[in-house]
Amino acid sequence: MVHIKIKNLGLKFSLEKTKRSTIKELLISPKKRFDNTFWALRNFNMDLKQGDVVGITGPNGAGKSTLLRTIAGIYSHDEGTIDVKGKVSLLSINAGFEQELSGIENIFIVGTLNGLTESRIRKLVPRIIEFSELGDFIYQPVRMYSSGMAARLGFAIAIHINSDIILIDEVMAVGDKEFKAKCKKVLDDFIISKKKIIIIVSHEVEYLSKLCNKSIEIK
Amino acid sequence: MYNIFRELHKYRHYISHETRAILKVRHKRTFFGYLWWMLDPLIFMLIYYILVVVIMQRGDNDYLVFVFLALLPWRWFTSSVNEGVVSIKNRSKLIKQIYFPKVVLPIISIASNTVSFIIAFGLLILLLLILTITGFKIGLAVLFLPFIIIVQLLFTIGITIILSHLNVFYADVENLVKYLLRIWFFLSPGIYSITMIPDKYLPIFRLNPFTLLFESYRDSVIRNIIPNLSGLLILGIISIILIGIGLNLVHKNQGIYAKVL
Repeated sequence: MVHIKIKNLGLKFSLEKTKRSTIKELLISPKKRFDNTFWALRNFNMDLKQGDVVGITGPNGAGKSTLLRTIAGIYSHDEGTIDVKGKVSLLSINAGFEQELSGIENIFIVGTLNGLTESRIRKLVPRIIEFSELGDFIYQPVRMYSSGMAARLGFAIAIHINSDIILIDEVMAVGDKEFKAKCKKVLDDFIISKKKIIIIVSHEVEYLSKLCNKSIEIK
Repeated sequence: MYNIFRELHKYRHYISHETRAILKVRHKRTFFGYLWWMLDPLIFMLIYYILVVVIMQRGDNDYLVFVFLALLPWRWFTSSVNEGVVSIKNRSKLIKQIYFPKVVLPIISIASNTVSFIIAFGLLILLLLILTITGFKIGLAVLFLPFIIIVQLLFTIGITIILSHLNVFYADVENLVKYLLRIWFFLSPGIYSITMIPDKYLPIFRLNPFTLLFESYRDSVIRNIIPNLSGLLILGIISIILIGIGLNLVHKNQGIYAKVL
């Protein structure tokens, strides 16, 4: 059963300590490293189960992206517990692209970077290409792509990874109107299937309230 | 430890695809394309041939082979370490976008350089086989080469993983490494023979892993004798311990990398 259970989560960036320091700084002022901790998130609680679609709102710098990255396992936390069950993917357009290689080759690189096996990706390739609407451009190096094309390929790969938990950080502004509609439809299908947990961070409160069955505000 | 290996196993496909990507990109947009795979080591060896035989008049091919048997493994080691040490730091953007075991990054650097080394070393052995017509002898001791190469590979992996971890926090590491590697080479019997070292320094000199490795390559290819197997075994065990330390360091700290970089 897919779930996310977060209790009293706290995550700090100790501004001096975690800043990459040079040995010189270390020798001159060794104590300075332990000053200035900044809590990006503190005492945060959340309990989500399969089928939940959650909108997260809050001002800039409130820790929305930090929360998503912590759930995705990118950041380690400093307080509390976080229990995530299920395969997580943070939808990030064009993460891991090799600019000099073709779209096809990049499907394999990004797919394996997400922990998929080669044979699984091979099966997905036709669907990804179709969804991305890149046509013959799929054989061109990614550096030739417009930013919209690269984003379309990234999104197409991301939604085919088939994760249990999908984290979306304001990436819906991708491609033209038709492609946006297509993305929204995929998302709607995910939501209707009730098999996944979806967390969306966005400033568009109205858009979130239409999609989500839960909403959380981080202050 | 079991979890680390299970995760590495899961990401083996990424390691192989990214390694291939790096190798492909390296000579992309060049006129000769994949020919550079051969040209690169051949030009490298040709330069030394001109330097040693033509300019310095050291004359004999034997000395040249003697030098190549150290230079090629050394080039493999330094390019792996130099690329590996920055591998985590330089991919900060990726690290913040997606979760994956960070230790794959230094491993990919080593893997791509290992492929280049195998090609270069293969070419050298091929040249030596051609030289057998002129009387150069290759014996059965060459069969020890894979063992020597594996020990060096393990040593490289251990060192590189630990350094790539340290470099995330102290960017000085990558600079220091460049200079230390240069000094290290001159302290190793790469372009000179171990017989030139005074006896009283020999015990210290033999503590250098590259004294052992260079001599082992020469034992098996030139001298046709069994290399120092117990020495290699000890180095292999030390290397495996270093790899264990490195894997643990990266595994424990990788959640901090994204915060620091």
